[in-house]
Amino acid sequence: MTGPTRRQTLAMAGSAGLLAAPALSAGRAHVVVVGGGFGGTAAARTLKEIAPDTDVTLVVDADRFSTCPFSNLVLADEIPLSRITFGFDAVAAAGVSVRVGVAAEIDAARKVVVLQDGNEIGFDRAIVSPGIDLNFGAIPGYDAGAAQRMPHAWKAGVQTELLRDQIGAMPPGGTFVMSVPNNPYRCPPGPYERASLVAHRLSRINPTAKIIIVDGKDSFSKQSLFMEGWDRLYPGMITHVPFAENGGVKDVDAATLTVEAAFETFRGDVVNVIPPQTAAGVALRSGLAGDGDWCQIDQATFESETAPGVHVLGDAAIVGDMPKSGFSASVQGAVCAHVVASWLKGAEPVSDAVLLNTCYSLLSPDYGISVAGVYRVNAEGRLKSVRDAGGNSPMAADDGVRQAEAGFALSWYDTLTRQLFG
Amino acid sequence: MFKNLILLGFLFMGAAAAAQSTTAEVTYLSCAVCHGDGQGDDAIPAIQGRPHDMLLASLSSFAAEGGTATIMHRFITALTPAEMDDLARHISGLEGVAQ
Ligand SMILES: Cc1cc2nc3c(=O)[nH]c(=O)nc-3n(C[C@H](O)[C@H](O)[C@H](O)COP(=O)(O)OP(=O)(O)OC[C@H]3O[C@@H](n4cnc5c(N)ncnc54)[C@H](O)[C@@H]3O)c2cc1C
Repeated sequence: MTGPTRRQTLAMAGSAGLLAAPALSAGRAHVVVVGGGFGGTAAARTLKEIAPDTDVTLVVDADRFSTCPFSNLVLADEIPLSRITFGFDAVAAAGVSVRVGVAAEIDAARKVVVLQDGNEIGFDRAIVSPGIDLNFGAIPGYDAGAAQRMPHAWKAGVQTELLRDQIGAMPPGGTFVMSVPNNPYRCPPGPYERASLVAHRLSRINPTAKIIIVDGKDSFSKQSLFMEGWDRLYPGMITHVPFAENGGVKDVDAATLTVEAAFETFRGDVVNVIPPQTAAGVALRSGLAGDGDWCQIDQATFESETAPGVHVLGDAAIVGDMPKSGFSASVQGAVCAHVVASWLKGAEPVSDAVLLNTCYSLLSPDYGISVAGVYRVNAEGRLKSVRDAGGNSPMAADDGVRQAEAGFALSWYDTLTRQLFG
Repeated sequence: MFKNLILLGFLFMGAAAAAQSTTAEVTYLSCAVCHGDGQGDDAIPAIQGRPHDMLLASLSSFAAEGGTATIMHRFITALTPAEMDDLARHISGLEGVAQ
């Protein structure tokens, strides 16, 4: 299951240099993928499928992965966490070496991934999709300890269940306060889907409860569609306080469950703090983000601007105009696998394809809306939104349209997770 | 010459080695996120292996008629007629339950 040793990797690199096409060298090319979420799993499986002669190792930090997509349905108590949790047996059965371990560093100069246990895995190319880390410290008072009292639930798993249970135990007529960061962050419409699905649950179990969104920005993704739906489904329950009216969150206090903004203090019975985010720690530690919070890449090939031979994608990277979504990360992972396969063969990668994204949001289990985007690499090498394509669901549509989109959302989720983990 | 050597190399490896990626194949990766595993038992239909004519006709009608209930018409305006044709040809060549 282990990759080549450092010596083998060096030997491989040597012969590769000679032939200018590693796949033709005596040794097999080895690609290490870091992160078994949407981007990494898509990359690993696609690469193994299109280049079966390449050794592919997927480094995962746990033997199970819970998806953030549909985790708001867990908060709504509509589905259990197990419904959105997957193992890696099928990935391994597809020929990918699955290595459970935490990547401490990606060393581009030595072409090794250093694991926390001290082991090293050599690579010809690495694909890195480790997602985000929560920027504890960005909001005074919010640290890992405070997150036990005021969950973020922005990585799915125990945090999701913690918040779900807090919502269930909220006193009658209580207040659910949600603090939402400014852009960029994982899943632009995610907080508003969450507010909707929490409202769906509360309207049944606690109908006089209130939801207050303390926002770090003035407008948000699919805003009119969300607001239209909230008026219809949960009139009076959800209040959105834009940045201009709250002045920005200054600090939070886990002991008193308060969110202190510049113009107003919000006290909740349940407080969901979604803090600002950065590329995951391993990317920052490896210098892939330079001095910034997110990784800069060549938007046609996903190759890092700072670390040759290392490709970065998904939430951790700035991928042109594409939003930080699981759909985008999966597409980027699959496209990156084609780039890497081409280079390993000494061929030019395709650069004129179209990339798509759709973010579905559920306002209730049978009320869906979406935003779609189409992206192409332009002459300057930037992955830009194609003008006059993409866009939102229509406003003022009838229930049949919303129900159909909820069906598409479920179909999207099941089809994608079957392909990644099934 | 170099290309030929590479091809030769693949022949030698007796390979399952795939041919070079095409634009339609890479574009299809985005389609596959929703249509990909060909199970087609969900709200979103399986499309792999459907006849080229049929695929091209539905892509063209999404482009022409628009519509409110799907997202396809929001995507399809980005493709040229030639790209639609290539994409339909690629999808029709895939194995799938829709065959
Ligand atoms: C509430 C919510 C709802 C969402 N809903 C949707 C939706 O409906 N549709 C949609 O498209 N997107 C949705 N998203 C966004 C989606 O979850 C992310 O965009 C997506 O997960 C990004 O994929 P990724 O590969 O970049 O990261 P991830 O999927 O997070 O995968 C990264 C993996 O790498 C692991 N990792 C990190 N560091 C290391 C390390 N050092 N070593 C080993 N492994 C490591 C992580 O633990 C994780 O398992 C939602 C997000 C949230 C929070």
